[in-house]
This record gives sequence, structure tokens and C-alpha cells, in this order.
Amino acid sequence: MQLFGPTGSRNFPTDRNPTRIAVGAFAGVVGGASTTFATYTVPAGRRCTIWSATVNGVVITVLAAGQTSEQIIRVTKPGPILTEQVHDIIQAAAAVGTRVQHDKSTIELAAGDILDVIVSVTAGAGVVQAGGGLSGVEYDA
Amino acid sequence: MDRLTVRDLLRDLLGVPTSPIVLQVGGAPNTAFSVLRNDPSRVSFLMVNTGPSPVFVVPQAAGQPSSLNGVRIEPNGGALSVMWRDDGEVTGWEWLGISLGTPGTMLTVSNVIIPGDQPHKPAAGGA
Repeated sequence: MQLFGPTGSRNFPTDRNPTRIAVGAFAGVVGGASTTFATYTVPAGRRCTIWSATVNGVVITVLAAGQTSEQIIRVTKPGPILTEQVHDIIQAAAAVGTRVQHDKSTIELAAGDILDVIVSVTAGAGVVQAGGGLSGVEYDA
Repeated sequence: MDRLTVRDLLRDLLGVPTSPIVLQVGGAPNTAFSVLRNDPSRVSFLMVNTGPSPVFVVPQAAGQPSSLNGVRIEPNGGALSVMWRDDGEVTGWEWLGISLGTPGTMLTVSNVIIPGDQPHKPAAGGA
């Protein structure tokens, strides 16, 4: 006697009513601003596999003395509990063309989890052209 | 004599002629239904759960199928294969099934011994 099929109550996770997730944006971030380029919250009763999340920034106006820019990919779990996946920084007085780029792959999220892609620039005359996004698949828990 | 078909090979292997029967059967949710009728001439079968819910199946002598009694066949294509050489006479017994939550649909492919080389006529409601 042979039984074929997975032993779980469902077949493959991504067969469970899947929805494709793709969020992202690209814009200049001026001094004193913080921009969330992508945010995604897993609905109740669902899970999600984020295959790729990216964040990047390039200085287009030289940063002032003491002015920095942060690039963050962050998961906030219910609680809330912040778990940073990527956190990089462009140092003060960075020259035009200084850039940071990160790609984080395969992040598993449960219901209520939030994934944010954020670029911030502290006060000053400098400007960072930045972007970020995420893509993955959401399915029934 | 040339052996030109799988049926020829099966006849050589089993010593008797056999024929396949393909049937689609179904049942109301959470209610036992007959997936395969008793047929001592059945030498093998494949049953595929084509419905969206798990189906538990049991040979009739094992009692009523339920979530606590039977072989669980997963939805959307899970399958159970039974062959007389491996599993004995249970292959030819009646098999009952129950679908949990939604109407059950099962595709069955049976291989039964037939007199001569005539196609086997399936019984209504199950093979």
C-alpha cells in the first residue's frame, strides 16, 4: 500500500491561496526626513515569505558635517518587537556619489508581522536619493 | 505469440486477463460513502482525492471512516495505491471514505480480472 502526498494538512505552503506581494518606491530624502519606501503587514490568518527586500541610497547633495543617513530593513513582530535585518549608515560629510545598497533575501513573516524599508537623513543640507522595496508571496497560515 | 500491449504483459504476469476501470465517485461532507465496492477480482487500485478536503478511507471491515479511523488522503491530488501482491485480499474489499468539511470527490482507477479479454462493466456507484 502506497500513500502519495504530503503528510501535513495542506500541500505546499505557497499552494494555500497565494497572493503575490510587491511594494517599493524611489525618491529623494532631504535633511531631517525619514521615508518609508515599503511597508507590508501580514494579515490575520496568513503567513508570508519575502523573497527579497532591498534598500539603497546615494548622496546627491553632499552631507553636512554631522549629518548622516540610515538605511534600514526592519521586521516588527507583535509585541511590538523590532528586529532589524539591515541597518547601514552613510557617514557625515559624505561626498556626492557615496552609496549604500543592501538586499536581504528570504524573510519569513507570520500574521501581524510588519516589514518596513526605511531611509532617513538627519538634519542638514545634504540630500540622499533613496529607494527600497520588497517582493514575496503571502499564503494561508 | 507477440506481446504488443501492456494488457498482454499483464496477462502473462498475472496469468489471467485484466482490465482497468476508471470511475469518479463522490459523497456529501462528513458522511461516509462507498469509494470502491467489494470486488474480489480487483487486483489493484489507485484512488485520488480530487476534492479540496482531506478524505479518510478504510476497508469496510475496519469500520466507519472518520478523522480518527482510516488512511488520510490529502486534498487536491493526494493518492492511495493498493496492489494485491503487497496488500492481499484487502485490495478487493469494499472501501469507504469520508470527506471532512466539503463534498468529497474521488477518482478511482481499478484493475480487475475479467473473463476473456472483454472490457469489464463497472457496477453503478463504485467499481
